[in-house]
Amino acid sequence: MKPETDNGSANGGGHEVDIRIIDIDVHFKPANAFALTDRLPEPWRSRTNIHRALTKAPLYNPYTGAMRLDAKPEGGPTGSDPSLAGRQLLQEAGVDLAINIPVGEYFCPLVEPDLNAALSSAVNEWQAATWLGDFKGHTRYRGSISVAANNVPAAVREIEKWAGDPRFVQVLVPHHAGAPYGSPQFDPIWAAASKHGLPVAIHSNVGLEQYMTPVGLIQRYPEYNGIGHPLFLAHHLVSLITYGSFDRFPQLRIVMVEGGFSLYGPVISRLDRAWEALGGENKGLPSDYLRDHVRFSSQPVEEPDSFDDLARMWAWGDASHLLMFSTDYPHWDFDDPARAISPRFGDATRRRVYLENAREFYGLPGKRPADEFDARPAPAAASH
Amino acid sequence: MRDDEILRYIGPPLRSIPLGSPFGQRYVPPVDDIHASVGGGPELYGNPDAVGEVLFEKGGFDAAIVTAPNRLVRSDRRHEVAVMRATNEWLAASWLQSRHGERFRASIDVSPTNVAAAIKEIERWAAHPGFVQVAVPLQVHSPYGEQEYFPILEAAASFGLPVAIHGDGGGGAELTPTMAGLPTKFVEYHTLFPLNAMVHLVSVITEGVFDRLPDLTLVLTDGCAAVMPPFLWRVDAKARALKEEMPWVGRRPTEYLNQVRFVPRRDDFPRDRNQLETMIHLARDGACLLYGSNYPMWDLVDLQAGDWPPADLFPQPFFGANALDTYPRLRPVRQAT
Repeated sequence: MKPETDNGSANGGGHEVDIRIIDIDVHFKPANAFALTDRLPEPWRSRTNIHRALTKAPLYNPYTGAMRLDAKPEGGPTGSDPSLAGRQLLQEAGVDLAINIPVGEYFCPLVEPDLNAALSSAVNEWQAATWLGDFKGHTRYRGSISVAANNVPAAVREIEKWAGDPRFVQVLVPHHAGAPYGSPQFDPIWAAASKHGLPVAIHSNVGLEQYMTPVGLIQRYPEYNGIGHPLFLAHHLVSLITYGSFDRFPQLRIVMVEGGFSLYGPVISRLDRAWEALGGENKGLPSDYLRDHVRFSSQPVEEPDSFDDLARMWAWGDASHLLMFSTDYPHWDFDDPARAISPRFGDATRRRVYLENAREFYGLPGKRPADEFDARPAPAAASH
Repeated sequence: MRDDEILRYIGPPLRSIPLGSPFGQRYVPPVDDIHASVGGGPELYGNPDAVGEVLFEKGGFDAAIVTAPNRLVRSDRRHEVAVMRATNEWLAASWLQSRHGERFRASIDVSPTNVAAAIKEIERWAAHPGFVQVAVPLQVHSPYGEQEYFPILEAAASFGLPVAIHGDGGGGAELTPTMAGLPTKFVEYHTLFPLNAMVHLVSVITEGVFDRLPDLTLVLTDGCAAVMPPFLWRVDAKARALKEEMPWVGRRPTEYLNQVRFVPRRDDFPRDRNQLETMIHLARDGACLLYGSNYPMWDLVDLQAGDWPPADLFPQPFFGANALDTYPRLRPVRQAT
C-alpha cells in the first residue's frame, strides 16, 4: 500500500516532523450516548431506552474500573475530551499517530442485526465527524471502520462506504461473533476489506461475547483479561489459517489487538506440528502465513522477571516483524512508550515495533505536520 | 480394554448404558489408526501383559502410570460415579495385578461432579500402593479452583497424591470446546482444546488453592508447556496491580509453578531448536516437565525412536527423577529394579 499524503491543517508552525511512534490501539468516546443515537435512523432513533442498549460494561473489570483515573474529564466519560487526550497521549507520551478503535460503552455490538448495522454506521459517522474531523486542528488520528459481524451484507456495505476515506485505515470486528472467523460466513467481509487493501482488526468488545469458558465460568478480571481474550484471538487466528481464509483471500491481513503476543509463537508451533501429522489443506505450514497476513498489538507488554525470557518469546513470535506498538489509551494499564519496550531489545527491533511495522502495514506516512502538541518536546526517554 | 471388562463392575440398571461417549466424538483425527503408534489393535493395547512387554521389556521403561479412558463428565451423574468406581476396581484387578503389575501404577479416576463420591473413592484407594495420583477430566463445568472442588484437591494432597487434569477425548457432556465458537476441523480442535487447562490452572492459583494446600501438585497432561508461561505473565501483571482485590493469593501466579507439572505432547515440541530450549527453560529449566508417551495414541511421544526432538536436548531428570519427585509412591519401583 502506498503511503498516504499529508493533507491536514497544522497549528504548529507549518513545518513537518518525523513520525517515530505509532500507537495502533486507542479508545475515544463521545460525551454521551446521544452522539450515536442521534445518528441512528428510525425506527431505532426513537426506540424507548435505545441509549440504554448502548450503555454496557464488561462483566469483568478491576473494582475501580478499567480506565486511567487521571484521564477522566469533567462531565464526560474517560477518553471523551480531545484536549486532555491530546495532552496525555500526544504530548506527554509522545505518540505521533494513533489509530482509534471504537469499542466498549456506546460502541457495543447489538444482538439485533439491522440495529447493529445502523449502530456501526453511526459509530463511523461519529468518528469521521469528530476525532477524525477537523475539530482538533491536527491530523494525528486514524479511524477503524466498525462493522456488524452479525450482519455480513451490511458490513460489506459499510466497508464500501468508507474505504475511499484515507482517515479510515482498517476494518474492525469484535472478538466474538458466534463462530471462528475462518468460517465461510465471514468471507464477504474479508473479500471487501481485501479488495480495498484494508487490514481487519479483531478487538474485544462488549455485547455479543460469551463469558463461559470451555471449562466453566471464571470469576474475576485477572483471569478474564489474562486468559479469556487470548483464547478468543488464538482461536480466530488458528481458524483463519486452517479454514483457508488466507488462501481464499491472499490480500487479507488481520491485526490481533490486545490479546497478548508471546503466547502465539508456541500456539502456532503446536499447529505446525499437528499439521505435519494430520495433513492440512492449506498450501504451506501455518507459521508461513504470519508475515504476510498477521500482526499483533503490543499492549500490555508482558513483564516476566527476566528480560531474557521475554526476549526469547519475542524471538519465537517474530516480534520484529509481527508486533506493533499500542498504548491502549485511556485504559488503566496504558503502556507508556517511554518504558514499554526495553532498550535491551536494541534500536532496530524497537524502531520496528514502535514505528515501522505499523507504518508498512497500514501504509502510514513518515512525516506529519507539526501541531500544538509539539509545543513541548516528548519525554527524552521516548526517543530512540 | 473392552467395555465388558469394566461393565462387569457396574450393577443394573446403569450397566446397560454404553460406556464410551454416548454420541461418539465430534472431532475425529483424520489418521488411519488412532492407535497407530502401537502396531496392533485392542488385543495389544488393552492387554497389560502385551503392553508391559512393549514398555518394560523392549522399551526400557522402569515404570508407567496408567490413566484410564472413560473420564467423561456425563449428563447422568449416577452413571458417571458408577463408571469411575468400576474403572478403579478394574485397574486394581487387571493392570496392577498383571505380570508387570509392580511396574504399572495407576490414577484414581474421580468424578468431579459428585464431590462426596470422589472423596470416598480417593480414601478407598489411597492405601493401595499401586495408585499414585488422582485424575479428573479437563472437561468439566466449573474451573477446578472453585470452592466446590476444594475437598477433592484437599483429600488428594492429604494423601500425597498429585492431581492430574486430563482431557477425555471430547465425547462427554461438555461445554463448547473453544471460546470463539465450534472449531471446524480436527487440527483446529486438537491445537486449541488443551489450552483450556490454563483456565483450571489460573483458577486454582487465583482462588488461593495452592496457598491453602502447599503440598498439592497439579499435573497438566495435555501439553501446552510453552504456552502457559506467557499466559501466566499476563495474569501476573494484572494480579500484581490488583493485589488488594485478591488478598488470599500470597504469591504471583508464576511463582506457583513449582506446584505444577506439564506433560508435553508431541505437538508441543517445536521443530526449532531454540524454541524447544525456550520451552524447557520456561518450565523452570525442565523441572516442571514430566515425560509422558501418550501410549497408545496416534500422537505418541517416543524420544527413543530417533524422531524429533532428540532426547539429549532434555535435562536428564525429565526422564525419571522429575517423576520420582512428583510421585513419591513411584520410589519402590525404582528400588526394586
